[in-house]
Amino acid sequence: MSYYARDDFFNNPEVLNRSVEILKGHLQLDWMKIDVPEAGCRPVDPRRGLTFDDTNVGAYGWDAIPEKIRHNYSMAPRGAELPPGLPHLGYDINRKSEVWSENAPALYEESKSRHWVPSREVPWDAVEKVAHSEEFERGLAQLYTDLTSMATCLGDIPSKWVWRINQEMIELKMWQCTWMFDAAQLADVFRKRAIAGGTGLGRDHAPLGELLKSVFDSGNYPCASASANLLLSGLMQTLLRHVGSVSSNEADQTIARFGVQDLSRSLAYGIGHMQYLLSKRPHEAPALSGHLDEVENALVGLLGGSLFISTLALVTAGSRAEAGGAVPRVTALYRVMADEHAARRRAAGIGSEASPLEAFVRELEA
Amino acid sequence: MAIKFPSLEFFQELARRMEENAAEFEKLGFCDTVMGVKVDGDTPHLYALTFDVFDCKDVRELSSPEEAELDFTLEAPLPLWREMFESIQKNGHPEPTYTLNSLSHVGDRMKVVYDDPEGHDKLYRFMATLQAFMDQASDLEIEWA
Amino acid sequence: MSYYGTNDFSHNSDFNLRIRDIKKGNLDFGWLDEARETVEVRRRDPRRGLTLEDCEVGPYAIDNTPEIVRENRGLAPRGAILAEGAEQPDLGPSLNKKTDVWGYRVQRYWEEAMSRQWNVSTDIPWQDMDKHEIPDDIEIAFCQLCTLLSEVEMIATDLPAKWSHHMNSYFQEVKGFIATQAIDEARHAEAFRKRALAGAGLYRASVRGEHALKGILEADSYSEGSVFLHVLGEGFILTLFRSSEFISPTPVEQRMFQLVMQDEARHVSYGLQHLKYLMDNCPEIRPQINGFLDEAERHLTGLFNPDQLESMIVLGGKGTSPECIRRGIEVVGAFQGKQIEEYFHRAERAGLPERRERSPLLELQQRMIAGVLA
Repeated sequence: MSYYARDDFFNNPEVLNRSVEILKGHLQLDWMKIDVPEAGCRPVDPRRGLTFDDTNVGAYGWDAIPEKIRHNYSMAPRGAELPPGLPHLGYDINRKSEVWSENAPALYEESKSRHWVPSREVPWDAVEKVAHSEEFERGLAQLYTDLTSMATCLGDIPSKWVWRINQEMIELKMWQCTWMFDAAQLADVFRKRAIAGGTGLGRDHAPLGELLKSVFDSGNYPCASASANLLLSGLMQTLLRHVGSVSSNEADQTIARFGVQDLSRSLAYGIGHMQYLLSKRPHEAPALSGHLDEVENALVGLLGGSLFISTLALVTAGSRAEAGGAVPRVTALYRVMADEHAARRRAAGIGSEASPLEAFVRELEA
Repeated sequence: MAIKFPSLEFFQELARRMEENAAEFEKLGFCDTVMGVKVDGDTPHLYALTFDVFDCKDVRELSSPEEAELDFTLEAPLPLWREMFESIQKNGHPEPTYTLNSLSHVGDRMKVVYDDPEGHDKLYRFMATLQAFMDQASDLEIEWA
Repeated sequence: MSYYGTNDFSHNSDFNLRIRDIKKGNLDFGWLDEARETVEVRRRDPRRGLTLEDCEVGPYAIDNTPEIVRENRGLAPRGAILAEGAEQPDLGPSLNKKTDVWGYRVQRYWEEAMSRQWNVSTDIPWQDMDKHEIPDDIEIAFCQLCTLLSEVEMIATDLPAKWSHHMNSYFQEVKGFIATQAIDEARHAEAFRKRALAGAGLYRASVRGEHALKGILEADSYSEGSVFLHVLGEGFILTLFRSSEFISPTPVEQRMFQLVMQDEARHVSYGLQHLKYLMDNCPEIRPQINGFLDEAERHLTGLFNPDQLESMIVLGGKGTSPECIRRGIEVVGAFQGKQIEEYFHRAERAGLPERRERSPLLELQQRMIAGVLA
């Protein structure tokens, strides 16, 4: 046991006596007399139900969170009365701009309302009798294997950071829980899809590991957020859109459609987070941009890696025999990815003149 | 036509209605448990209700609990079951004091008998489904034994 | 501080040569020439869809995974062909033994959790709140209870999150399940927060309760954290939810507790099955778990804080008159006894029957009864 409370409540006669007095019927009811801010929130739009937006009022709302949180390091809910003696729960992310995005509460609501169940909503019978060739299936299975590892990494990011974030930013923490959950769900559906196709999971490979380690080991939360939400989610979203366009299998179509939705929420948060952070701390932009350039370098290693590009060429062409001729189409896919990524970086305020991804795609196009 | 309570036909009718209202139960999610319902009286009756995915796929009357692998059994005298169903019929759902949880909780008017705590916890894991199952009796004409 | 990969591809001549080759359409399909074992995976029950258990075949099955996972240091899914050890970037997972995290039936809990998700905003009939008149003292007591509950629920997102990224990616089912727990518990905190804000507001936080939460968060290992959180803490909270449904002022709150109760019971079941798996496969850890629980149970007494106790009594008795208080005490006394008894039963089933003898909880209960009778 690491933590021993300063006061051993179990052997504290005052604690026992108070409980005994209560059970004898001598209630103090002092909590009833606390003067708390009025709430009485109701759904503005009954179709949406009672949303976080509806509860963003006064001292209870997120607008009231200060940039530097100094008054509460416990799990007490924001707006509650804080009695003296609340312990420090060890939070070391206590600056709102370090994590906040104005769209996080709405993205949380959206995630709940757009929940899907891969086990049931993917038409798995379509995978039980695939109409495409075995080598095309091997290519898809390899892509899904890569996507499983990517989704695992995507979920490990909120897992690594959420428990360190001050509880005052409750809506943000809840958003991170949906992010963790969505990523786990994607890892589940990608792995199932690879296995169910009959050729099984593909190969793990070093360039992918290098990229994921670059994302996972980002040194602070803003860097982790930029690399996971902007870069990794962007990559996964592009790959899924590609799967949806090259596979006519109904199961792949469904996975692509739902997966793209989930990942697009991460992209939206990533941009919103950077915008909020840089509106408060513009001097952090160069460091973030430099970090993202480094992770892009690892991404280039993946995109140019033999296994990855040959897989993409295979699924793009439909067969191994024609894959060599599909390199220009894969390059075009990389161009889309690079342009979208650059646009997101600019929107987020961390555009780069030295983007390794852009340089790599230009080299391929040359 | 009135259906007698307690009877096998009564629970079969609830199971049929559950299947008919598939969308409601699919929204609530998988429900996998074998629940015992015991109606105490001059002649006690014990039923095993087998829930599987979104359906109640089997309803049986047992002569002893050992005849089925019950996760838990809800036991109550006939008048209490009657009060519960009458409460459901009044509003379409039970009044707060007549939910399965309230009846089986403090005061234990309805007993929860179980051996394995995980089996016991299934009552709570699938509470919304089991309550909705009982609520299927809301407009059933019941002939009380 | 971040990780910088071994290659800077903008200055890597081998890489640039390879890119030139790729542009000519020369691709390496060595991976496609490797033979792969064909597997046949079918849905056993189409109504459930394709479940994890359906995928438990050959190299993908957990039963074919060694107790200690040594070969995978990255994020590969179980059953993938791994890169050679030297080439494999090490992401540093520290929970690599099955007994560290596994629980019987975890695959089923994952599927159940996926299928039983719900939405606080729309599945609780908030629009009905104005149909019911709630006396002021009852509303305040209910909001005091909601304050405590929204305070404690987030521990059950923070604790799994704290450990999930340390788990080897071969244990995807456990990582997945505890991600469902994180969202379940976020939803619970959301429900209680929204209910308080739809009513009289948030009241007073609990100092003693917070010390118990800190004890959970700072457990030395995942298993210790799990036994404290899932079996002890959530077991107690499950009974508290049951009581709260029982004493709910209106059908709105009743529905809320019905829904949260289901999730909580699933988490308790996983905790119990993890503890059981641990006791079955790593019995040498018993003294450590017992020693930890001796302290954890002391911490837990912090949850019986006066504000919570009093608000439950007011709700249980439906008012503050002496007669109401008397009735409320009966209700609360009964449920507290149940909390302790159900915990001992779970511990016994998981393989720790000695908790009943060595636990400080019974002593506390006896001291309280003696105090009341004195």
